[in-house]
Amino acid sequence: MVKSVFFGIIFLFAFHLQAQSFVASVDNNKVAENERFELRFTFEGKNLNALKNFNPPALKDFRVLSGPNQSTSMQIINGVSSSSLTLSYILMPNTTGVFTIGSASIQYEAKTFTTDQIKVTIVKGSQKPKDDSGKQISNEEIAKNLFIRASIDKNKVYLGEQVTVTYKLYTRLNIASQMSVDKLPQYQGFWAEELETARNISFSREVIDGQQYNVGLLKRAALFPNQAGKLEVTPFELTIPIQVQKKKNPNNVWDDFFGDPFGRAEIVEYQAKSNTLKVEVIPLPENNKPESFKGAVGKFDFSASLDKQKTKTNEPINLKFEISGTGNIKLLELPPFELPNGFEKYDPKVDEQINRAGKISGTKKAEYLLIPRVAGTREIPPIEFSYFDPEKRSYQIISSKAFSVSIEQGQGSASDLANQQSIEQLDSDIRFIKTKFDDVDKRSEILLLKPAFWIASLVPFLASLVLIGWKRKKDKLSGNQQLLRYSKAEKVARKRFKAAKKLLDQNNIELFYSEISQALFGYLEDKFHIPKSEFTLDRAGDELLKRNIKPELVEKMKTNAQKCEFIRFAPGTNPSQAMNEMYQSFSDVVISIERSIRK
Amino acid sequence: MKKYLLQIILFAIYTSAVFANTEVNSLMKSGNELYKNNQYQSAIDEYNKLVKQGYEGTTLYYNLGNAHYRLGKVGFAILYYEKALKFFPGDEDAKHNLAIAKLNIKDKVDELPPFFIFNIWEAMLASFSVSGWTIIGYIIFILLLLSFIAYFFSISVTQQRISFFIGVGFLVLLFLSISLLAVKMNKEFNIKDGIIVENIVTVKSSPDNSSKDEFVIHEGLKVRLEDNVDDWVKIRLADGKIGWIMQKSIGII
Repeated sequence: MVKSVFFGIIFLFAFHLQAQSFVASVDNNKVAENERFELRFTFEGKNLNALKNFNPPALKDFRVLSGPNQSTSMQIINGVSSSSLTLSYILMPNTTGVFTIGSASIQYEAKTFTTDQIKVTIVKGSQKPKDDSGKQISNEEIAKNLFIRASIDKNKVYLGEQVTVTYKLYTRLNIASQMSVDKLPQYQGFWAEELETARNISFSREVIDGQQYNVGLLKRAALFPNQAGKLEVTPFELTIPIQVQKKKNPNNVWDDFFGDPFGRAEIVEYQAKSNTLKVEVIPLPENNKPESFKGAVGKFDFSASLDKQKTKTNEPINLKFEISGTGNIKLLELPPFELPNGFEKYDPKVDEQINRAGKISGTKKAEYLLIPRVAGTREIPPIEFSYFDPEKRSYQIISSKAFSVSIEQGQGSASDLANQQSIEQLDSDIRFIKTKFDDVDKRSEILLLKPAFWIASLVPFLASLVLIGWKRKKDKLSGNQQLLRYSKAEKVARKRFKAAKKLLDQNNIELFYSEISQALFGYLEDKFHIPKSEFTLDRAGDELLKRNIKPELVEKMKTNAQKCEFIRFAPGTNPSQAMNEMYQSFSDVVISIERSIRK
Repeated sequence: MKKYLLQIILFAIYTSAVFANTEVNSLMKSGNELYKNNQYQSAIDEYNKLVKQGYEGTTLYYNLGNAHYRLGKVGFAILYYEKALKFFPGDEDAKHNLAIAKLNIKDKVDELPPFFIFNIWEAMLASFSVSGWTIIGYIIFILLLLSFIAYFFSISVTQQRISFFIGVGFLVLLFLSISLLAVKMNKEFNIKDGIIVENIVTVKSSPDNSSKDEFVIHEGLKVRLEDNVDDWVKIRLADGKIGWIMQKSIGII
């Protein structure tokens, strides 16, 4: 199932691959001169988005009136969709003859499709009734009598220097109506500024090669090259409708009579194209370039002024710059200047006035707002403006004078306080002076460095050492080491039990019994402060009962001790078993006494 | 016996204070009197006589701060309040007046907010002066000795245990106060802060009048002193800016 679907998809895919086509066609194979025809390239396929790299044939034998124009269509027949893309050109033949339109190519999903060549026959318009009255004058003839000439005032300019381009229309023919612009010139590599021209073209007369022409100014532009090298200005293209007088047919007598008394005129659209201009741009000289140079080229005048010489803190003053002259005013950079510390500078307010007649000239005014924040006399150093004068071929520097500003301490304004954040609400005034002055004293040495301090710390230390030593000695003398013994009783007992265990393993009966009885008795002596000489089992039992130890435990202790004494001196038949039992019960007794005391 | 020892020590510490000399008495009194009569400059002169003779004290500096504040010399006022607080960091009046005087500072230097543990540490450090910490350390030392003695003289186990733990506690406290004292002393002797006392000071990039201006600071700003060359001192602001100014435009706390 899955497989069949898969094959089905592949099949469909293959079908669509076959279904693609790319065909070229013209609407008419036989075209009269001056007649338009359409050339079409149609692609049919599924996914038009996969189309790329359309490569049209060279159409040099024709004038392309429009195109390539693109149109797409889509249709679904029996659930199968197909779409087509058409690229069309409207062409106009230049001359008569048989022409071949070359093949076009297009790429679709990594496959290139090409069209067949098409032959087109251009005839002298014989089939058309228009023929006899057709075009009376050829394009060459028109071109002789009507042309646009572009001219520049300079071929070689410095970077940033103005070049003026002028487009003039020369005509000996009548222009029928409004001209339409096909293509404006492109000023690549220039900053262009359109110069003012009259709204309506006014013609004047000029004689060129002995012929009189009506000359009209079409367009003027000031260009400021912004890159060095050889630059080009593309031609200006216009479609000009001209009125052509129909030639009278000398054979037709009636024409003389019935012909249009004003002459039968016909309007022909002529495409005029100006020449391409070339300008060589020289880079500005590198030597002697002033530091303050920011790219101004032309001829300028510069002045700087300060509105106030005296001010108060937080009261603004204005620093004004004025640059006037010829050159690219719009791109003029304001001269940088250094401000003394304590001033705040805001972005300048810039005002431009540009005069666009002939050479671009004008005035640029800038106004900086400066706010002094600190009182005192400050000096703004001289401000320098420099430009390159292409006429003198050198850099010029204009420097203003230095400005000195005296700033008085003004009232602390709100902005001053705003700089400090989170001012706590405090009493408005300081507290009164202190009238007690016990603490006023000669500058004393640091306490730590005084010998008295060290004596004062060493004395108690030594005293306490002596005291402790004396106490310990006294304790020893009085033999009153009860406390020590008390705390160590358990440890001693444990040690004895360990030794007893060793003896048990060695089967040393006598020593074992003496060891464990000493463990128990020694423990009881130490714990309950019973002198060795006074120790008896009953005394120990009494002491235990005094400390609220269970009578059963006391009884157990007593019987165990007695048993031990007995066995010690009359060992039984199975000494090792008895020893084990004894060891167990003795350690049990000591552990339970210790526990009940702890409670 | 121990009681007597302690008394002797305390006596030794305050012995000079007890013998306050009559000169201090008269100069302080006349200074205070002049202050009351609004003759602040004269009061300053009186107090300064004491300072010149090597006297110092919270009261002296506090009163000097007040007199300068009344004359509008905020920088000096802040300087003297800081000095007073250095002597006795807990002085309420000095703290209050310093806060008021600081409202007049023009510069706001952004300080990085310190980590809260450092805050606690700093607060502890600031709560006593060097002598204060020395005395506290000393008292803890004596208490430690006492608990030591109590340990050996205890009759019962419970007594012994209690005195042992108390002793351990005092030992910890002793170490803490000694380390605080060490840090405080380091601060006192190695780190010097100053207050700008001139109205406006242009901070230079090097100890030379012709060097470039780095920035401008105003009266009352607290800066750290790092180095000095001839009449110039190198300062560091709380936000890390560094520059050189003339020594006369700064007062060392």
